[in-house]
Amino acid sequence: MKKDNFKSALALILIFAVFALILAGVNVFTAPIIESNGSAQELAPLLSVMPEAKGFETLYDVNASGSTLAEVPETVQGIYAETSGLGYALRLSTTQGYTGEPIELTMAVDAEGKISGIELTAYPDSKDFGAEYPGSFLGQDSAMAEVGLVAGVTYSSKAFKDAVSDGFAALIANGLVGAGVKSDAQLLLEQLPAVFPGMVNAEGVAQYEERELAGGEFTYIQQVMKAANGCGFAYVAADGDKSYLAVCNAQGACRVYDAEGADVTGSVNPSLLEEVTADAAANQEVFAEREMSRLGKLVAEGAELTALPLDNVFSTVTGAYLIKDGGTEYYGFSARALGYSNLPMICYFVLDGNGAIVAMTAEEFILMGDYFTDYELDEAQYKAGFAGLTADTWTGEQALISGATVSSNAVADAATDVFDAFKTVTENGGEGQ
Amino acid sequence: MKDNKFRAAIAKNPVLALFLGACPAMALTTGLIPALGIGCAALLVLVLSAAVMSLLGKAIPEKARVPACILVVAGFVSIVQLFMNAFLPAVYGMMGIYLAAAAVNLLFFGAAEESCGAGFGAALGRSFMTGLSFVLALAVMGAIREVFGSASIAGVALPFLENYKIPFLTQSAGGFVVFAILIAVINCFDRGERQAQPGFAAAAAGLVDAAPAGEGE
Repeated sequence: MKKDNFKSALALILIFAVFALILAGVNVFTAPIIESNGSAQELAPLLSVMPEAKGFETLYDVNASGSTLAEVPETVQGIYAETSGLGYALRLSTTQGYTGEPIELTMAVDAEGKISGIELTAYPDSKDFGAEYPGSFLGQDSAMAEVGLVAGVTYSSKAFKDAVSDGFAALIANGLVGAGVKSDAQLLLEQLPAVFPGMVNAEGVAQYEERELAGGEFTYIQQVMKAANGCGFAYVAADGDKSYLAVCNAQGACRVYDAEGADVTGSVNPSLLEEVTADAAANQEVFAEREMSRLGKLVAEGAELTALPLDNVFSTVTGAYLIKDGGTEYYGFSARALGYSNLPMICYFVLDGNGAIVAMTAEEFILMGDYFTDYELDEAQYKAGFAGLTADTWTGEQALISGATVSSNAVADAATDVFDAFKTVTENGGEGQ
Repeated sequence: MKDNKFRAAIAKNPVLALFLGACPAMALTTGLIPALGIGCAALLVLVLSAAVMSLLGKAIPEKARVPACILVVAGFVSIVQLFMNAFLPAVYGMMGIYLAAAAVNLLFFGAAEESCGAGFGAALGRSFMTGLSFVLALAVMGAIREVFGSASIAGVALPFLENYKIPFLTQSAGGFVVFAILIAVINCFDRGERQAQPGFAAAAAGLVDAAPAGEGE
């Protein structure tokens, strides 16, 4: 019996040992093949942005340690060098989009530091920025001079653009590619939040669409941007070798700034100013009729309205009026702050001679209200909450609608701009700030 | 009847008559490709372990046979697994856990145990036939479920069936239904002769009695 037990144990140990040896051999043989299968799968998206690549060497992988690269932003998931020197491929992932779920992309940057391929690999946001948007990055260097944001899909397109920017930052910080040089137009348009705050959304990003130049010969204007809320235009213009940024508000008042951001309206070539002013006048959407009708109704039927100049107002305010009802004078303002989805929140305010709000209304209080159900709004009560507020008592809190923050923040912005416009219009008669 | 090999093969079909290997048969017959994948892997493991067990059979004491079978089958399953992962990564991906789980499948123990001490040629032949009928059963099941459940065959779409497909068949419950129908068809051929068949079924039954925990599928 003992002998039998010993024999059994020995047989099992032998079988075990033999199979362990065979398995070890098979593993030595198959392990490199299995590993290369796995990395081929991982590298497939890189090949799709850089099809002519011979192979990739991993320089950085967020899941692996031992990378020699420094200052790699969180967005960057992987940096791979193409082995024949074509450039670099990067995997990027950002949670800065609208839903906060990761937007993922792969991009290829050639040896000159220009984007040679870019592909969106995961996109969780419901509002699509369009198939052409990633394509607009092709050929761009780190300055991304010719890439804007998509109006109405700002969060997601900004997240995408910032991710690309982070990718470049990692490459540049590690000396893999050189930094691109921003174009004059790009540098000029970066001044927009400072010189035309009316074009800027809640995130401080100027919202505009490039408009095609039409209807005549243009000597100075190179590019024109139409504000997303319709409250004016921004022009990139050149006179000789100097570039300028010109802005025109909804009333057709224009100002010109040089590359350093200095106001040169008074000293710039008058023909340039004339060309800009004429183009703005020809293309500006006129809101006056609608504004006068809405503001008149807020005061009384039959009230008389006279337009006031807004020469120095570059906020969201698009119209200012002196309203006479019998013997009483009021000031009416219309403003278009950017609200939800960068749609203009069109608000109307009537102030008395002391600058206290008498009445207010809006075309629509909750932009795209169908999407939201968790707000409660008693419109009459909400409007009444503004009555009597002056620039001194106004804090912005009064406009808040819980559950519709973006829309109500736009109302708050509009009110702030209206108080400022009131000050400009009354204290200086619209002349100088 | 014994001379009727075709009938005997059906009556001894490991999946449809003896219900061995039912776990992969359900899980991996959503399509023809995974069915053939696990079928061929199983055929290979069956033949190899039968060959080894027939050679070692006499040297292994009676009481060490079951653990020896476990060792041999698990060893070959691991080897096949590594080779599939290396050379057929796509098919390997479809196998999921079921290829590894095959290491504890009674189908293999039955064949390996039966081969202990049997002649090398006989063991090879018998395990090959068992493996082949396993492949056939899975292929038929996989084809039926893929054609009628996904309107495709081996991944190639069959557009004329697109509007008539029954997606239920690709789900687990649909697998049971197809399994049951095939068993019913087999029973038509079998007509109770299975009980009279010695050998494989008896060996399998013995294993079930010996290790009831093994049939956790």
